[in-house]
Amino acid sequence: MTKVSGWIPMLLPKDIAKKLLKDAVPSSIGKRVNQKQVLSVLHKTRKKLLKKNPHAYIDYSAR
Amino acid sequence: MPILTILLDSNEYIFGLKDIYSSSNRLLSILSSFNVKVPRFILDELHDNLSDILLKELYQLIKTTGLEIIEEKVSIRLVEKYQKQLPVEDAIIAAYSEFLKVEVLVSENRHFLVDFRPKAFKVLSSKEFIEQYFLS
Repeated sequence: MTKVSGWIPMLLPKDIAKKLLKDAVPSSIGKRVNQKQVLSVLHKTRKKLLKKNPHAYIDYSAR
Repeated sequence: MPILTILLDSNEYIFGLKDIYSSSNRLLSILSSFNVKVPRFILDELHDNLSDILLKELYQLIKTTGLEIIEEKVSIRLVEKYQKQLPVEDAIIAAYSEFLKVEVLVSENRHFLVDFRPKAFKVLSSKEFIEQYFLS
């Protein structure tokens, strides 16, 4: 896992900056905030997956 | 003694693999002691939220601990049943838990942990799960 400090230089290409953030290990100080952020992101992902393709996960024939 | 069947919410894999929460991390290290179901829905969520490096770690975990990936879809009736108490994106996880006959759903999601007491399965945080089923 990549350890990064508290900020990502603005001049980095967007995809690289995004990847660095994805791999980042949060500091212990930021852990509590980070948990809430992750839960919020996961909720958005779930909504997106269900909206995009509900038939991939739900069997509607049982209705 | 029969092996306990459990389902981990996606947040447990993410907190554990990213080392955000120590109990989730500990939970991932003891998964081989349980029968763990992983619905496709959870796996797709993890693909959207983990880096390539952590996805490799996830698949290594799946391989070494024998986690069972479930491709079956869950019935809309079950999803609707849980939608009475939960947002739809959480109702599908609860529906999968009943459908797969898991005994415990492990999650850090407050929608599950506060005031949600289903009859079909238990809902515990990783810390509670470890205390009740691994340390006891």
